[in-house]
Amino acid sequence: MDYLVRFAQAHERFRRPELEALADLARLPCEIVSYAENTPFCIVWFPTLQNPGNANDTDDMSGLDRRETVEQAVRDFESRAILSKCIYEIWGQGADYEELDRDVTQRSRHLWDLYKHHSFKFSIDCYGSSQDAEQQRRTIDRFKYLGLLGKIRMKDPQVEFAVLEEWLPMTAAGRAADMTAAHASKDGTVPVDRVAGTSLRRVFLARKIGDSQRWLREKHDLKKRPYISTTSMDAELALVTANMALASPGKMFLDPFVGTGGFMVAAAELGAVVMGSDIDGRSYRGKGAGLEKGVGANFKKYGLEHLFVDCMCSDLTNTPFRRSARGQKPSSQNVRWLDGIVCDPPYGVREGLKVLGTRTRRAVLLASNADGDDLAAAAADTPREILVDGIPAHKLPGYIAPKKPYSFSRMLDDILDFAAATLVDGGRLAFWMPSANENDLGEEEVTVIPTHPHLLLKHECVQRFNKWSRRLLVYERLPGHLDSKVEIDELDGGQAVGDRTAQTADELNPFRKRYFQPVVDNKNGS
Amino acid sequence: MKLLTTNFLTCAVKTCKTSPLSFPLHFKDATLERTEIDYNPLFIRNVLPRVNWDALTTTATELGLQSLVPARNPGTRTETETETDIKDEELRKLHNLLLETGVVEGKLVCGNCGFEYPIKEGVGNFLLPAHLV
Repeated sequence: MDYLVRFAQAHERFRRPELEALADLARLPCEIVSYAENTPFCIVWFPTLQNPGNANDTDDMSGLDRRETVEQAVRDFESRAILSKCIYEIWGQGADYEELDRDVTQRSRHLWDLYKHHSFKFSIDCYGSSQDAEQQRRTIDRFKYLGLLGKIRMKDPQVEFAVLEEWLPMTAAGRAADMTAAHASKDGTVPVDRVAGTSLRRVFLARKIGDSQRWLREKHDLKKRPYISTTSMDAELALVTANMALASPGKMFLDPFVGTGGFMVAAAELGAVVMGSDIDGRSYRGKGAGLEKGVGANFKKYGLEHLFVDCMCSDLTNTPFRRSARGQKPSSQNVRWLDGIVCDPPYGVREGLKVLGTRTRRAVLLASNADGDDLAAAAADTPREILVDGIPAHKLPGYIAPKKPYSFSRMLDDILDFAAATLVDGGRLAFWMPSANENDLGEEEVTVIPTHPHLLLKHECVQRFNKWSRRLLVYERLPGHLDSKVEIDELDGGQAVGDRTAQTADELNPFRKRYFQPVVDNKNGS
Repeated sequence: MKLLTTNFLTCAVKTCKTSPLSFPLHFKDATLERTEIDYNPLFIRNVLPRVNWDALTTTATELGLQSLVPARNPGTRTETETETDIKDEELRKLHNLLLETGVVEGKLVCGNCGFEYPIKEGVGNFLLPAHLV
């Protein structure tokens, strides 16, 4: 049996990866029969669920029981989806209604009797066109031949059928032909919707199996969330992020750039137990001193308090989190402990990238004067403990640790390395990375995707804006303990040296630099 | 800060990472708090094998809660053991210790360098001053 996934026509680049994540979550392999970004109808099948001719399945299970088991598996699969609305069992399809009728008769005649006495309803789903009430009634009447005798119930029917029409924009040739041909006709030409500029391509009759959890978008709508900030991630994409990281009950998740906690609530909504950390404690605390006015308020509103563990102040480069040590055999001392890491690291546009530390005097001198006195610079290089009235400054109330600018590529490497040292085998890292679309010359910029020997890139979903893009990168932790040979400093020694002399946010962050530079249009220039 | 969290924390100072003394961090002047949380046996089962038992025993003993820690981690099975299921009662006890018990005010101290990380209103601060970065 083939199934139809009814996608929403949005975030197209994320839809296939989400299907793959759903298959991983439900441990139900799913293969795509037909998928296109310009249509919300995707046809799939589940190889492990189809063995109708197999003698084994008649042993202890009647055909009906087996059908129910299969249906439950498909329902569970769809129940975790965000980007689709529901899933249907396809009873037939065709380029027009005549073809559909023939296919339904051939493909699903054996199913008609199963639903003969069920209460039912029909819904009409036209993508790219519309039907008025009278047309809808005629469409539904057409399927009298199914022989449904049950009551029609618009609320909670036992079985729900849908007629799905796919109308796509006409090609130039199609439009020209339409000018001469009569309106939607019976003489073999394709029905055309002149207002929408579309023509009918496919029509399906399908039975609904289950709904997605797309309703969570409304539940998590940022407009109704008590605690957010200007940089909060859109709720739908936060949920998709957590989905792709396979957040589910029993798992331990962390967001190391927690901010106002959008990814924490998303992962918790999907069942994971969550923790967060941020270099700036004000971001998750809000106006109060505790968490109640900040992220705590969000967990409370959504009834997810039982899945929240802790938030703390920490910096990824000097992290207090237990990491598995390099080059050591796994032992109880260095077990990796996270199932998922989800985050949207700071882009350095609205807020500069910051890491603990001070800009060293040496670097400042080097930057201002290449022939700077090396001895004096070296003396000023190491920061010393600062005392206020004999008390170390960092022990005084209200102490704020100094921070210095941080290189964008260095941060990405640090995130990957942290993930490799803390994620369990098969654990996932899902994070957002921005990039400029064009370089200085107005040519399409190639985006370098960070890599790590212990992480496998599973998905790369691009969301394109005018001047820049951001992409959701999803990695899976490969089995095996950390290799002692891989050290970040060795990996990009040159880059690290450059970072030491680079001082301004723009020097350290090529993305920020491009973002603020005016677009130079010299494609048509001299 | 919950006891589970402290089991995942070491000293943030890089030179301390290799020292066995930097883990676990030790509580000082700790005020305990108990928050009731829905029992989540699936999570407890999953997380137990990742809990460092010696560290948990040390932490619990310092807080006077040693009676709540079983001698052996029920989440780690030796190879000779079969599918002996962990007793629900034992899981509930550990749920109580790891997720319902936390420190609202106090300090976490590194046994190697002696640096004190403050905890205020349940939130720990692990940012280091410049001379330790």
